[in-house]
Amino acid sequence: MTADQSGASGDPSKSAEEIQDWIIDYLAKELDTSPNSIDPSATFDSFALDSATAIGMTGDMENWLGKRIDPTIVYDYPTIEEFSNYLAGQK
Amino acid sequence: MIQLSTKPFPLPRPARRLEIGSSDLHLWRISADDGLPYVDRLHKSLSEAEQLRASKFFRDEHAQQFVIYHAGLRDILARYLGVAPIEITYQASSFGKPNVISGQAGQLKFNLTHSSQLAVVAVAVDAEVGVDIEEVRKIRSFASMIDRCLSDAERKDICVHQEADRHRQFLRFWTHKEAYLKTIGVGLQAPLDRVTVDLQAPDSRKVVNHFHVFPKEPTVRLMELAPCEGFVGAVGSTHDESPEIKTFGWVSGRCG
Repeated sequence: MTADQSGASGDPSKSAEEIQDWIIDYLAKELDTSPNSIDPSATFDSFALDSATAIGMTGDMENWLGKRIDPTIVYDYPTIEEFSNYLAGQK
Repeated sequence: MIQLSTKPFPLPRPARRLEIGSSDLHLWRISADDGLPYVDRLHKSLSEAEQLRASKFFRDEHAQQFVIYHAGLRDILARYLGVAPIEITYQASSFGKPNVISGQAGQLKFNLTHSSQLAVVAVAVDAEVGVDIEEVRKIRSFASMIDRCLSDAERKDICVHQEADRHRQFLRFWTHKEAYLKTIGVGLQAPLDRVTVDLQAPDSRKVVNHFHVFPKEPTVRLMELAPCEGFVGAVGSTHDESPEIKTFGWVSGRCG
């Protein structure tokens, strides 16, 4: 994980719940479904996002969080829940 | 531009092993629509880990595509190796690019890509291969994607195109870059804006700027693919000379 503090401009205090909700809303729009149908314990893999969509989501999340996200950390934190907890706990 | 065959592959398996020489590059097209009637049977040719993965998809459609593409890949590789599809085992490299480990498979290299209803498998021996296809579509957060994924020269090229063509042009760059990174085996961990691709250059000189961590040798040839209407694609390989390309249409009904 690379936390590029020099470029940080966003609110660093987003909670795991806020991050999780953001991801679920994003995926729901991408999959044209309701946020309620998305299980936070599901892996990103299970949504079959193509790589361009995955990179796009990471980019939008970086803009929202105001920090760099290494896209490869998803291998270590493969579910929405784990990924959100990791990002919230990471300073 | 390589046009992919939709003609069914004529040899029923396992008549004999499919030959491939070190100067050859084989490209197989797998259509999800064609495989759909056989999905239950194809499911049985997957490993337990693949079956588990197939059971986890949010959408049935994606699970079915996964089954068809991965069963197709096994069947295709099995034709070269002279083994049953189920006997094939994979081992991932340190960056996650899978290789086959079974019997004489050491020199057989392959790469799978899929987008929507279509998958393509590239196969070679003694040369690394990487392939990528994308269905042409509108890219979400397009401005930010251009910033993140394209070099300065590529951004200028995009601007020359009509607004309506920009998403397609972006995906041409994207597939070439991804084919290159898959060929050298690093995948999308690489900073995409640090690699420049020249779509007009000859195949062996399309990658004009490597990020300094990438090896200059061997040279990666990048060839544009025309998978079918509405898709763009590219295939990379480390063949010394332009490879002899053969294309095949994979027919799931003949599998197993």
